[in-house]
Amino acid sequence: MSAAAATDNDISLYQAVILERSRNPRFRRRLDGTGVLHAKCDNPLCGDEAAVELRLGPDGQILDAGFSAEGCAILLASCDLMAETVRGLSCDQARALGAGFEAMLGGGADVAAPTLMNFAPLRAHPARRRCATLPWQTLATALAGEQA
Amino acid sequence: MSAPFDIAAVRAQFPILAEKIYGQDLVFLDNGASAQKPRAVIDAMVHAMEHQYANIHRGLHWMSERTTSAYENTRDLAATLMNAASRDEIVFVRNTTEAINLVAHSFGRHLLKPGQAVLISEMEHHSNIVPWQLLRDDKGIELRVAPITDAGELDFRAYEALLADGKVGLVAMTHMSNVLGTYLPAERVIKTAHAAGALVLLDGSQAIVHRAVDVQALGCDFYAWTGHKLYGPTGIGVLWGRRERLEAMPPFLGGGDMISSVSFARSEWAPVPHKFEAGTPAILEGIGLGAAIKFVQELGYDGIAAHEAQLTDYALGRLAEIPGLQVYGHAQDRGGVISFTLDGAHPHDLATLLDRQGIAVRAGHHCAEPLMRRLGVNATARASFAAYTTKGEIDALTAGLLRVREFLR
Repeated sequence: MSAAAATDNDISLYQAVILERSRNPRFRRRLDGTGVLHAKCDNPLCGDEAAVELRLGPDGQILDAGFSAEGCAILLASCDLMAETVRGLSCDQARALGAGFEAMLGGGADVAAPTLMNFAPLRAHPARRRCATLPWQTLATALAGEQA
Repeated sequence: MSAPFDIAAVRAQFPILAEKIYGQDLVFLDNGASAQKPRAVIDAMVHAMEHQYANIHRGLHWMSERTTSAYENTRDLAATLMNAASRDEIVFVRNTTEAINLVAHSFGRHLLKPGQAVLISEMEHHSNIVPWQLLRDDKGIELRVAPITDAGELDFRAYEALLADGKVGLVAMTHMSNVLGTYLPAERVIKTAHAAGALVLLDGSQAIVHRAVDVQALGCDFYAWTGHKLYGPTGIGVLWGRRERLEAMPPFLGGGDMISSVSFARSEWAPVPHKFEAGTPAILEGIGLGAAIKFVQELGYDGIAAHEAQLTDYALGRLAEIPGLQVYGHAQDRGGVISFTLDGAHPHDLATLLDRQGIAVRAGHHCAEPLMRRLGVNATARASFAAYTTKGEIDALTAGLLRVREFLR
């Protein structure tokens, strides 16, 4: 067994922030009004799903974000922290952050958003990465897509 | 009567059980997905590679003759294991999925007629759903689904009703659910199907690991299973078919080894089972499977079944101690495959948190999405037992689940 595995017995994947956000998400809500972008994606391996709603300002900035999801703690926390993080970003910045987040989970460089680094232990859990990236994929689909 | 079941001696035959996971003893409860391999299987495959290997069925040299004989010996062992009337009724395939696809293709596409139906149950693995959907869409064969009861048993009255119009040509059902652990009342299912003019295929992937299967006593027409769940290697499985059924069916795949003569105008098929075995087969895996069958025969199904029945009762009792835990399926006749959920813990979180304690369970839809829908869940966690599973491991699972519950609280 590798030394890393030997010291990795602290269930570090479930950081306090992740557990807290999965229990008490702050952005699990519908966005009211017109002009809301939305998308829904699922993980065919487990049946979990995430739906994301975004309201953009006239200059394309993400003013607000919300989600609904059925799934594990990682998925719920990732939805919530994503919604929190992308508020105030431009669409391109949000997409780039999502790509950077996915690359980070695959072993790439840290991302600039510290709360997203709570998911870094997923680098050692390839089978669970999809739980964290599903919200970001849903966000990208929403940004590419239809108006509600 | 086999020797008394000595669990320590059984475990000693599985080198992997000595592994540590995150510094803790491995508690392997994902046997329904694939079982671990005993020393005899490992040694048989290594021995073949080191001392006795060549392509089979064609070489005229010492190596080929010896390898052919070792591989073909597995056919005899499989025939004995299932009490087949003849070794020629044992067709080697890659796995259960391929066995079912073979029947869907060679029997379904060629011997069923549009307007006829295939009848499956609500608790099938995707491998016993999708091949029939392909057949339905391709050939206009109807696909019927017999419901299960809330207890997770075949709804027999509904089953009989679905057979009543005489249109069902084939009943294809799992002999033991990979999610609920339910055993099918197979003899009754088969008698009823035959009386309605339907043949019967049983998916024995799970059942043959836990209980003796006697295809002549069962009276079914096809029986499919895979080696890797029966302590053997991956890539080798068995389709047993009644000889006259197999003889009436055209080949599945074409190629070498399955012909008696070939010209550009036409080819003649080899006799069964070789008609269904195109190309170089999984030779080493076939030899490994032989060792796995011998391992099971030496343990004896009486001992295996008694040990696992005891474990299952014990596990159901221990799991009932955990607040917020629901077990899915409580069939009267059930085996050591237990699906459950725990309030406040998604099955994936549960599996990851158990894994950190060295405990391997499966979490997800278990390749049975329609059954998940019937149960009203997206996913469950599943603990599935093997001959080497101990009460101590059930205790570890129980303690692990209580810890997960505390953690996610």
